Amino acid sequence: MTKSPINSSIKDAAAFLPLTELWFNILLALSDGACHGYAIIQEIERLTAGSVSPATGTMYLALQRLDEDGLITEKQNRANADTDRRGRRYYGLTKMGRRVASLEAERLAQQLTVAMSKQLIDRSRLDS
Amino acid sequence: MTFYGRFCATLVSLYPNTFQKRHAEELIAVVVHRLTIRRKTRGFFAMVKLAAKEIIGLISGLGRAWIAQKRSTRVGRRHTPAGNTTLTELAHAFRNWRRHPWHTTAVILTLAIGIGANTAIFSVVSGVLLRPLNYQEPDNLALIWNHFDWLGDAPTWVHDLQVKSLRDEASRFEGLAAMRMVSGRILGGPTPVHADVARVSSEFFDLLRVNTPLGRTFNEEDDDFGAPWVAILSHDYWTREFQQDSSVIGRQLRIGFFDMEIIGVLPADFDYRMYEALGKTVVPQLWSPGSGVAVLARLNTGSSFAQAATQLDSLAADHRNRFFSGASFEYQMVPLINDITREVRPALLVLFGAVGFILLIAIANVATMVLGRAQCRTNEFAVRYALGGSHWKILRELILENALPAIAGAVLGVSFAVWGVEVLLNAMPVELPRARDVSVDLPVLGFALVATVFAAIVPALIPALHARKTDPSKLLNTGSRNPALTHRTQRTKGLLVVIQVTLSVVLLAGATLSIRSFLQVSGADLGFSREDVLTFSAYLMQEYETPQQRDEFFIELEDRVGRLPGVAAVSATTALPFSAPSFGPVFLEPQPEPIRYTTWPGQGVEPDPQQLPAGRWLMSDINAVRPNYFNTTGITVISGREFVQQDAEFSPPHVLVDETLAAAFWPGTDAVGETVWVFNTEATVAGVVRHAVHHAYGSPGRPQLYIPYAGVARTLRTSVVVRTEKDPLRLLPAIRTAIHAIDPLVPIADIETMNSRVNRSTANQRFLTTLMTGFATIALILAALGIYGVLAFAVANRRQEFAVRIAMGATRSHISMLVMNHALRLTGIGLLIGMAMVVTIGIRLDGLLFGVPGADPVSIAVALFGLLAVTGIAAWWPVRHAASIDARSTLRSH
Repeated sequence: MTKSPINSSIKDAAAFLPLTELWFNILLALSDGACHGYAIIQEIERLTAGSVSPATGTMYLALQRLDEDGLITEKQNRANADTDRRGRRYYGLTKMGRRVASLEAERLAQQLTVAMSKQLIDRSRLDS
Repeated sequence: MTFYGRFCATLVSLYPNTFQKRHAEELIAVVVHRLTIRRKTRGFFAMVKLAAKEIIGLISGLGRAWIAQKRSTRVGRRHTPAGNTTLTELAHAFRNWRRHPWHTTAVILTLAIGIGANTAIFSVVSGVLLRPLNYQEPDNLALIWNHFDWLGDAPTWVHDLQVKSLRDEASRFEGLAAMRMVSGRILGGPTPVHADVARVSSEFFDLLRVNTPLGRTFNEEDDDFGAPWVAILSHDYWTREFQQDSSVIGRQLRIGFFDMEIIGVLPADFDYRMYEALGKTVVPQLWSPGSGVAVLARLNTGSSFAQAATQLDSLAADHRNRFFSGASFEYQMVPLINDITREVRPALLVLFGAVGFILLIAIANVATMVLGRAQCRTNEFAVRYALGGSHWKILRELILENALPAIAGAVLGVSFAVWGVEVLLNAMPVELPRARDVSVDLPVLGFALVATVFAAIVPALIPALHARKTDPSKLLNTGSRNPALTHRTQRTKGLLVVIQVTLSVVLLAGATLSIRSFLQVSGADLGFSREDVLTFSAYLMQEYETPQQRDEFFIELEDRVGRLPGVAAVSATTALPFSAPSFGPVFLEPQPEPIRYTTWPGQGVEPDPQQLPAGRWLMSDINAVRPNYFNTTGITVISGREFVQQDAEFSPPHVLVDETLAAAFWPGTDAVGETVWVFNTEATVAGVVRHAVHHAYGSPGRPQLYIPYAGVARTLRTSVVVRTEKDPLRLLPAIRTAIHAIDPLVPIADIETMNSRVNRSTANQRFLTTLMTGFATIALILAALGIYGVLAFAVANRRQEFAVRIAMGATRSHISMLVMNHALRLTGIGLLIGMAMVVTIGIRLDGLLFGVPGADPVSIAVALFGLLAVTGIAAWWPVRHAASIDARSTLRSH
């Protein structure tokens, strides 16, 4: 997919920050490898212990936007193409997508450190 | 695909084309799969929850999807040459719309009438009946009344001692406030006015959660016996009389016999009514032990109406012995909103039902038209099906096509409603309670929207279903003359006509019932004469404290006014027809103990329900009248004589009774000279008069007893009756001058001719009748159009058949009979169902009708012949057309 002119002019991945919760979750879900839409939902539910469960329509809309913005891309050579007879589309992270995800993670980590220094959150709970 | 899947597919089809192409199929499959898994793992309700979430997600994503699409299209990046399906379809629908202007105009107008009339009536229903009252937690507010079997149906005042007990014992209530309307002359303002005054206990404003923007509300000390009198002004009175002067607080006002200090002014939007118009002034603590009050109650948060009513029932069992020596009585609790709207509720609901029928008829009519148009496009659908066109797409297209005129109709209808509501409110004869709450607001627009969606979808569904049920290959072969399809379409159209006829029969019968009831009311024998009689009130205050002083004033008034040219007779009474007279028990035998009465200054006398009477008695209106009253009002004296000035001096005093009372006590004999006991006094019947209608039409009214005016202890408001030789209102200036020559300070108010008093009492009926007649007319016009449409189409379809019949020797009249038969078959079924509905609904309307039974044969007959006549008119052109078919050319062309 070509990048949108708006975003192609923005070289810096930081321009995407902060990410919405859903976008970040999708990027996280795809960080282990390409998945189809339903698998992404399942992975998000697993990662968040069921506390986040996006509506399907909202998720596909986000996939479309992420694709247009060049953060994910449709994978033609999916691993299990033979077994997937339903013609599902698989999506994987682009380099840009991976960079944006790690920048967002760093940003959140920084915020978390601040929160800990202000004793808003118990470090022992995080460690456990 | 499951229903839900289809529904999602419809929603997804509204997304931009690019999104649909890439994701639609997979998205819907995932949604369905997730729902299935959710139901299996977590149960049905979890699935429903997820389904709702998915729908919300799809709807909320629509806007974002289009914005994103627009952005990418604008920058020329992802251009879609095919354009978008929905937009294409809209453009297609619009073209179709323009291509058939007559069809479109007819649909728009029909729906505008249906939606407009419904929106107008619904805005009144919504404002008056549905919208919560303008108080905090209004659902917790109620009124409590006493209900005694022996006093008849009407709820009666609650007594002060009961209120005290209820406050201590009824734990389901946060509080109870006592109130009563009185009227009195207010002095101390810039001009002396006569006004309604509400007397309330100090809790009143706390219970309503109303604060005064200026000054304070009442507190507990104000209720103490002997505390200084205080008053709160209504905003209206403050504005009119004091020009919103805030220094009014602390000033003295004299209301009736009492001086009181102004302590506050109510907010402008405060509008509380009991029976009459809002009190100009509000005064606390005016009731004395033993007197009756209305009770306003607020339920505790968390207590339900049923719980509170149960508690009142159990308290009534106890209070029966404590207050009413065991007399059968119960507490009646009415939600405040029901009490305020009780007089208009039935009529409004009837109107709402009637106008709902209009909408159904309009939609059935539009469905007939849409079906007719769709049938012309049968070939197009067949080709599209044959090429693999999706059924949903065709349905969507039909809905879109119908949606355009439906929206146009709705816009026109709502504009009509905005204007119509104004007209309705102005035409409303009696001031409508909560009229200021009536407007075309958001809930009303929501209602109009629902009606519009309904009107857009329902007519489109029928042709779509038809097209679906038909085999495309057969359609392609036979085209629009496919016999199966034609048959099905005709049957459906027939059904739609039956629906229209049925509903029209109900509306026409309803309107006839209403008209007949109104005619009965207008033509009813009132017992008095309504022409050339002028009535007005004269208020005599503290200057006329003794009966002698008042008597002298009226002797002089009757003398001076009676001498005016054009005046035929003058008299006075405490209660004119169509105003509430005092009432009380009249006994045939003396009572062992004197009956106790509660007297209300200016409001009459009520018996104390604590006492149970002995011997034969009946409850009667008791009206004090001056000499010459019956001559002036035109009430016929049947036997004996009417009052003369000396009657008050007789011992025992003389009274007159009406024919109803005479027939009840002394059937078959002349009552003159008989004895009755009234107000603990023996009285002799001096004459028997005709029964005069004193209450609302339709209620039988109590028997009547007349006592001499001069014997009445204290009354403030006296109504003067003047019989004139010509237009009574033209004599008014002369009459006013004559009265002010006796005493310039006596206010003359409530000036009205007897005719207008009578008209006012029938105004509600007239209003209902006018609207019902209007609705019935609309229904008939729409039904006629519906019948015409179906017949015209049938004739066009059967041209060949008719041509063959004519060629075989059938006469023109035979062909006409065939078409007429078709018309009558359609109407006949509708008539039968309609008449059954009229009987079922009519029986329930008995309470609204006067002198006409709900299942009135005349109204049913009128509806029957009315619809037959309409069928005849609607069938005329198709019949003529069928009879004039040229057999030779028709057969040749086929």
